Order: sequence, then C-alpha cells, then structure tokens
Amino acid sequence: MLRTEEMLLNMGPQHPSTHGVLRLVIKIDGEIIREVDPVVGYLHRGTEKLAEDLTYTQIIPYTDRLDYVSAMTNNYAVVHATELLMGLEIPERADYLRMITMELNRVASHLVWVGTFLLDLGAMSPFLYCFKDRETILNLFNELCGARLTYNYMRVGGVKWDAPDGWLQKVEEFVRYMQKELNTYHDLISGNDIFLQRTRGIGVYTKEQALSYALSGSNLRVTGIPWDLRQHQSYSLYHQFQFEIPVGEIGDVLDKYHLRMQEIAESLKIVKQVLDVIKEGPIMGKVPKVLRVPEGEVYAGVESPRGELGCHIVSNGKNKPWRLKFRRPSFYNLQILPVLLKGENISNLVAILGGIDIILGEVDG
Amino acid sequence: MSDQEKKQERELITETKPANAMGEGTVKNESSNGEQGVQKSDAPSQEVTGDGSEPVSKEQDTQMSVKTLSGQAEEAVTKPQAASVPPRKPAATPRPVAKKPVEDKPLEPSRKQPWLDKFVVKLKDLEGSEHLEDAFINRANLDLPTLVIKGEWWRFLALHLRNHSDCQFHYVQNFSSVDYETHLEVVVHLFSFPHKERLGVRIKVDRTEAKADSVADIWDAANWNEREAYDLMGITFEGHPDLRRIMLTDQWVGHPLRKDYVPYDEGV
Repeated sequence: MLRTEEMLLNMGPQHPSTHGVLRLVIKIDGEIIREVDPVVGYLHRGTEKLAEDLTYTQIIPYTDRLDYVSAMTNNYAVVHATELLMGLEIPERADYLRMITMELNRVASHLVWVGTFLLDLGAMSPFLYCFKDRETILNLFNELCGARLTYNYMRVGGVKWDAPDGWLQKVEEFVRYMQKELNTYHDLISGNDIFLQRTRGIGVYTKEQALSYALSGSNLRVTGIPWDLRQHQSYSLYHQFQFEIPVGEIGDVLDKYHLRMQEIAESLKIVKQVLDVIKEGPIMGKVPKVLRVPEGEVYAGVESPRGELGCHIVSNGKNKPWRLKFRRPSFYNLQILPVLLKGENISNLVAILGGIDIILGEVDG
Repeated sequence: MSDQEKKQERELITETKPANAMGEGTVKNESSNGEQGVQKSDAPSQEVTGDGSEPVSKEQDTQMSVKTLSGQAEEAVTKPQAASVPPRKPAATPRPVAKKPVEDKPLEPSRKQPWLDKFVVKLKDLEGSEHLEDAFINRANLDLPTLVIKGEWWRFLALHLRNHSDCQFHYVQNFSSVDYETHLEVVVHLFSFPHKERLGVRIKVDRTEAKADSVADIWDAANWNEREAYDLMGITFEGHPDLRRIMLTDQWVGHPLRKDYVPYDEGV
C-alpha cells in the first residue's frame, strides 16, 4: 500500500464552486478528507448592527443583500415580523402580490441552484437553460419594481407598487410556459449518467442529525420530514391554496435535485391558484407615516428557498428596532458540512457542498 | 408642550394619507426621508413614554403578555383603563384601525395558556426551579409560550427540554442574543416535532461577567450560533468545544452588538 501523508489544502475564499467567499481548510490523506473547517465571515457587513440605527422601512433594502438570489423572501421576513408586532391588517391584494413574487422568486432561486450546481459538476448547457428562464422572472420583477436583484418591494403594511397593466397575464403565460419547460429540464438532466453517478448516494445524513443541526428547507425535507412553514406555521394567505410538500427518500444529493425540481412545480401551482383569485384592491394597509412599533419581542420564520428564514425583533417602542436578528438558513445548513465531508473522497466535495445550496451573503449576514 | 402636541397632530394627519405616499422611488431618497422623520419624532416619543399616557405604551402592556407567575394579572387588566383616562387632544383624524381590536385581547386568556400552566407546574418540580423567573404567553408572537430563566439553570433546563418525553424540543428554530444594557439575554426559540409545540426561552446573563453554559453538545446547531453570540455580543459560553470568533477577524477588539460598543481604531 502506498504511504500517504496528511496535507492541508485551502479551498477558497476565491474558489468558483463556493459561490461566494467561503473558505474551507481541508485536511486530506491522499484523496480522503479527514477534517474540514469552514471559515466564514468574509462577507460580513454587520446588517444586524446597522439595522439598530435604521427605521423599519430603511431596513428593507438591507435585507435584499442577505440572500441576494431570493430577495423577495428576505423582504417579507422582516416585514412580516414587524407586522406581527404591530398587529397590522394587510389588504388581500397586497398579500396575493407578495405570494406571487415570493413564489416566482423561489422558482428563480431554485433555477440558479440547478444551473450552478450542474456547472460545478461540469455540465455547461443546463446553466444556460436555467438562466434563460430565470431571466424571464427577473424581467417580470423589473417591470414590477424596477430592480432585477435587490427589489425593495415590500413595505410594512403592504407592497410598494401595484402590478402594472398586463403584468398578471405575463405571469400566467410564464407559469404555463415553465410548467411545460420543466419536462425539458428532466430530459436534459435527470437521466444523465454522469450526473447520476456524481450525485447518487453521497452526502446522506439521518433525520436526527438534520434536526440536531436545525437544518431547514430542502435540506431537512430530503430526509423525509415533511416540514414546510408555509403549511405548518401558516403565514400570509398560504392556507387558502393547495400544494404538496415533496420529501426525499434516500437523502442523497440526487434526492435534493429532484426535491427542488418538484418545489419549482409546486411554486408554479401556487402562483397559478393565486392568479385565479386575485382581485383589484388597495395594496397598502393603513399604516402611520412614522412606524413606531409597540414594545415587545417577536420571532417569525418564513419558508425561504433555503429554509427557515426568521426575523427576531426586540422593540422598545421606538421607530427603530432595539435588536434585530436574522435566523439565516444558509448559516444553519452549512454547519453540517464538516460532518458530511469526513471520510469522503475529495472529488465529492464540490457536489456535497453544492447540494446544501448556500448563499454566502446570507451565511455571513 | 404645545409645540409637541402640534407635532403629534401632524403625525396623526400623515397617518391617514394614502399609503402610496410612503417612501420614495429609490433607496437613496427613502433613507434621507426617513432620517428626517427620525429626528423629528425621537424627542416627543421619549417624553411621552415618561408620563405613560401615550397609547403606544398603553398598548404594550396589553399586548405583551398575561402574567401568570408574578401575579401581575390584575395590574395588566387595570392599567389600560387607567391609562386611557387622561384625554388626548381631540385629533382631527381617527387612529389607525388596526390598533383598536388589540385592546380587547388580554381579556380572554390565550389558547396556549392551559398548556403553559401545566408545563410550568411540571417545571416547578425540577431541581433548581427557583431560577425560573417568569413564564408568559407572548401574544404578539402568535401566542408563543416564553420562559425567562437565570443563566445558572440553562444547561439543566436545556437537557430537560431536549430529552424529557413531555418536551422533546429537538429543533432550534432560532438562537439569538440581546443586550438590554442592564443585562444580556440569550434567546432561544425551540420547536418540538413530536408535540408540535413552540417554546421561547430567555436566558438572563450578567453583563459584566457575560458567561453562560454552552449547549453545543445538546443541540449541534448551537455550536456556530454560540460562536456568533460570542463574537458579536461578547457572551462566553463555557464548555464550548471551539469558541472562536466566527464573523470578525481574530484580532478584532470589542463586541459590536453591545450597545456601548465603540469601534477601535489603532491610529486614534
């Protein structure tokens, strides 16, 4: 047997497959990973500290920059927590618009994941398909709120802009198109032998591990736990609509791919149902010009594409939060990485890391 | 005083303006607009909370919780009525609609109250239960049962909450920390999948010593979160396997989320 020596390998922070600035200090023995130490914080901007000096409306654009591929959900997390504390009523149309944008954003976010994940594994063309379709969603958002990535769309009490004329028809067209297009994705990816071999049976963890590490979103559901905050801690008007919670069977990276593809289909289903019932109406509730939030404490979680995105607000009755804390799902999900990588072959590293679906803006806060 | 009342009145008028007037098109505009609002409003709000007649503070009492342990229930009921006696200047416009129904709420007990009462009775039997300071329902937070405890008890309680068949809180929903200036607090929101119950635990930590027991071996999720709380809030978790800074550099001076934090500059 060949004699091998332990070696330290530094991956990142400027490594393309870490999707940002994550650094992994890896101890390898030959090709086997012995130990991994993720080093995070390269993108830390102190959002929580900054928020203490901002009014509630001013915080919203900062949340866009946490999970920058699904900014709508971030907007909603902070707005939702504030509304709970204030006990505000939201007009129906505003809630529907929020749901449409959040679900479209989920589709866009999962498309980014599918595209870049396959790019990590060496497949170029799915990336182009994904970004082409994501572009349609970004254009829709651009038309709605004038931004393609950092939307700053929601406000405490409603949304900032109403849908322009014909926008809802465009969304409907996109939903119909995308539901068909999903078959193309499956033709292109799901049966690909290289893809299957690189993802099947790797990165498996148990239910107990998933719970102990407080994983959420697809990372939790892949172990077979049907946990989705949209249904179980119902917020907005999700309880009015029918959708399923897809769960995994084996819990490997391949399962995560199928899960996220099914989630795209479910999100499209929700958008379609919302489009059927949305009516004209006000888009902002009655909200004072200066938002003074009553004293108290609130924690509210919402289902972001990456998992439970929570917002913990402590208010002392002023127009700025005393303390604002984000429960950032990527931060929680990344924590299990050293466990998953221990004893793995180094060639599986990128696939397992990609499977977790982290956004470094969110990990670092 | 009259000046202040005028300001209040102006605020009331703006409240009923069409919502579209809120915020401007771009981020830049909006922030400058908001800051003006801050300066204008900060001073009156401080004075008003002092005399206790401001509806905002009245509402806090009603909305926060129905206290069970410390016997302040009567106080919570009587306070809002007393607070409403000093008549406000008849404003030209009515208050926002959403505020009214909230006032009636505390009269009916929360749907979670029976569960919490039972839970607290069981907790009282535990060793060290004198460290349990308060248990109440956080009405604003969708009836979240909340415990307030002293730091010494945290590890014992955590083990109980995680392992006991009545609790089985296997899942950490949120791990946060707050600086209240008088003391620090570690705030943990737990979820129990078998019982489908949520629970908030607020652990009081002394501000100068700032030490708490680590629960990283009880919930793996607490590991990085405790590192984050250590890094940003300056709470030392004893027994943590690897307590290093996680967000900031190792040479960083101070803990930014403390309210008295001043950035350290070598040149100054």
